Amino acid sequence: MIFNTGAALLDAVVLAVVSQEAEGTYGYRITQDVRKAIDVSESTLYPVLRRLQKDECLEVYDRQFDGRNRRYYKVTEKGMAQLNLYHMEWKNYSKKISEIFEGGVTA
Amino acid sequence: MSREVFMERLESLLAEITVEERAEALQYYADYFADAGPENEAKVIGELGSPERVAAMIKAGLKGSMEDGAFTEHGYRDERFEEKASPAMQKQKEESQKKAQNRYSYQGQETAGYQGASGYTGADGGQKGTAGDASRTGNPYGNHGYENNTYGNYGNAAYGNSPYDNPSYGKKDPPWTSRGLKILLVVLILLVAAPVVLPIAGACILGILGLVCAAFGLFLGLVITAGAVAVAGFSIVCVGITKLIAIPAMALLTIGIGILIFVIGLVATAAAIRLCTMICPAMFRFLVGICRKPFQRKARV
Repeated sequence: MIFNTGAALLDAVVLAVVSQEAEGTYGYRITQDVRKAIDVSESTLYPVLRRLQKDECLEVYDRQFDGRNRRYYKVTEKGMAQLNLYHMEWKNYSKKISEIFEGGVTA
Repeated sequence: MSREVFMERLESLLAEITVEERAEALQYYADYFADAGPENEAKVIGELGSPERVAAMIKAGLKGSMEDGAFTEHGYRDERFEEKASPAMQKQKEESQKKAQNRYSYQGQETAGYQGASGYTGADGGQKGTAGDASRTGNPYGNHGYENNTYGNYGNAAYGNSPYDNPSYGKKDPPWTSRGLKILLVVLILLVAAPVVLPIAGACILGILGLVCAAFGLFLGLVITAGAVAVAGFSIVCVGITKLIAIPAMALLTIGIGILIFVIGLVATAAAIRLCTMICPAMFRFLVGICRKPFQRKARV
């Protein structure tokens, strides 16, 4: 992809990916899922997850898996609100860009 | 590099952040490796980059300074985290630099055009001057005009032709700070500051040394006191035993008290030694941390 991804968009994608799992999901899967959409490096995700956790958009809990504790991330209510905001913003933004590209053919 | 080496290296690189943050980050990457599976270990390490890079990003994330860069197709891109890139990345970089050069060359030509024009007006003025004052002062104005004109040409030549092979346009670092100049500056600052800084630094080092000695003495004192209590208890027991036949009741009481004191002394000794083993390494780590701080900051900038 030739378009750069800003911090807000990355936050939005991470929140969206985590919110798809009601039970919560874990670091490796979040990274793989985010990388399906945007090609960020694997070391980028930890600081983002940690920040979202500190901003109380994500909460973590440990669950036994395969004889070890695995850390799971889950979207909080505040995170859901934030995600909805991002979603609305993205809809507006992408609609405007598409309109410009396609000369106002799409509504 | 194996996963174990990577994690160890990362842990030591994160020595300066809080215990909680370090544990969080290490747990995340331990999970990450475990979930990726041993068969993907090399791939994951290749993707993550060096432990230094991962640690730098964790620290930058803690400082909340991740907003400065951009998340590009090669991941988060920030000059602070740039390191030796893979060949593909290098190529990409070169391309983008070329693009940047092209953009600058356009500006360069524009500037050159403008300068040429100014040279032209200069020449014009000069000619006017020559026309007006030819009889009185002769050539100076004309010469001036001529000079301006050549300057204009020179500008044209310099700006118009160079952009393609002028490397300084493509780079982002400030153009006039050279390494030699920086070193000179540092040496000068050191020379000027030496009379003030040296005594202060000496005092600081001696102060820290003094504190260490004091702490050491304190702990040694604690251990010795506790040991002495135990020895005293033991000797009281001995005294009690010698009096066992002469005054049995008194002797039994003495022996009892002696045993009590002896046990208290032993427990206190053990506790003091335990305290030492707990606090001494922590203190040592703290001191090493202080000593390493200035160097690490330098390395990061």
